[in-house]
Amino acid sequence: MTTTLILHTILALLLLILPLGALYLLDRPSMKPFATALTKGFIQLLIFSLIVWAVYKVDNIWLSIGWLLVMAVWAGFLVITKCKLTILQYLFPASTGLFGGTLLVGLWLLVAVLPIDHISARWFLPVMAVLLGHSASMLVRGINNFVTMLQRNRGQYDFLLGNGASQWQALMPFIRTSLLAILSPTIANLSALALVSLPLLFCGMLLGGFAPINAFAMMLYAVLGCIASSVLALGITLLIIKYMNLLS
Amino acid sequence: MLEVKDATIAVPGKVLVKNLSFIANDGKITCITGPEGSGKTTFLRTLMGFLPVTEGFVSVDGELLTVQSAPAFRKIMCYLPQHIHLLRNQLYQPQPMQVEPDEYGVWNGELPSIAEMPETEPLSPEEVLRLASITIADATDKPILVADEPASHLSPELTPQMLQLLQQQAAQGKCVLIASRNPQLIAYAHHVIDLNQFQI
Repeated sequence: MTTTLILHTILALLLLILPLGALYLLDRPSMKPFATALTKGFIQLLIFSLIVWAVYKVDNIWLSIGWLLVMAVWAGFLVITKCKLTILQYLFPASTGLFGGTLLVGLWLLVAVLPIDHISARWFLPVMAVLLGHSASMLVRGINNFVTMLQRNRGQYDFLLGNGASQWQALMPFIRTSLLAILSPTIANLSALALVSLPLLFCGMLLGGFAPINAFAMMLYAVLGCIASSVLALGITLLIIKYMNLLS
Repeated sequence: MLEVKDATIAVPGKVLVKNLSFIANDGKITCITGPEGSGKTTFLRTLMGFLPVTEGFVSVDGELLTVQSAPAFRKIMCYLPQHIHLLRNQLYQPQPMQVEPDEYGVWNGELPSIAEMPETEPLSPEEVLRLASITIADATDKPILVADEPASHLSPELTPQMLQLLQQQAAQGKCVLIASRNPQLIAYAHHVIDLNQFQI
């Protein structure tokens, strides 16, 4: 970290005078949790930046895939914890779904869609991180919907099996509602896209030096990739859940 | 024709039925009866291959029915479960929940909270009868009809219609097997098996 960067960071931290000052005047007990949360957030971001910096430095595709694998397992753990499911049973399907869905769609973006000469860590990491983040958010809704609906409507599953449906056919109504559970928020978010939904990514690209039209194109690719990877992640996860016999 | 020979059916820690033997013939209504908790539903689920028999065997037209072979046999069965009134999603497609766009997130690191899903509303007696009729109508080519307490979620006025539906199926040559405590259904069955006689 250069001296200039430290100086700029201090100047940015000066902005905290406003919220901390307001809390000092109006609600002093909230100052401590606010400062703790900020510190925690900054440390997490710093650690994440250092890891990304190391991966950038080495710039090896296998290391980048290894980074994605670790992130997918961690994201899978968070998804399963959020859904209040058994880690032992559901961690593997969720992590594999996230890893597979993100990697396949991400590689499609990197190889076929984006105008780049070769896949470097500089492109691999941000593309995969955006896809993984969105897929994990959607997987929380997808898995939770699938498992809850199946538990509550077990009778419907038995009814379909009892009337000669295969296990796949009996699962289809639940897969359908699970798919709708992940696509409905995407539709809601897309309809609010111009207002608040994903401007951070767009602004980040403008800050990074993209021309607005290029930022628009990248944004479009990212949104399409996010939708595809979340559907694929859910599909792979449900496929593994079914084949691991976690439904009986 | 469905045959049960010396069947013992048990759930963990409890034997429900012991040495039960009978033949459910085509063109007849066979009714399994017994008090609540006597094992009627478990017995029907065993006949459909959802559960194994502890001893003895179940066969359909001379072929052995096991948990492994059951999916093939269920293709020739029409099944009306006990809690048919909870199968709202069979009559009406469930609608996706309305969701609001995600809030503006600075860190984008927080996963969404799981949404509480509303309970499924039970079907009315008229809807139950409609679902049963649709299910039976969709199974015209299936020679076995299994119905678990087919009248339990119907009003007394609708019970005769269900009975008529079952009788029509038997008249078409189907093997109709029901589990019921309803006196009206028991009275019209050709063959009644009281599980009380096969309990320890």
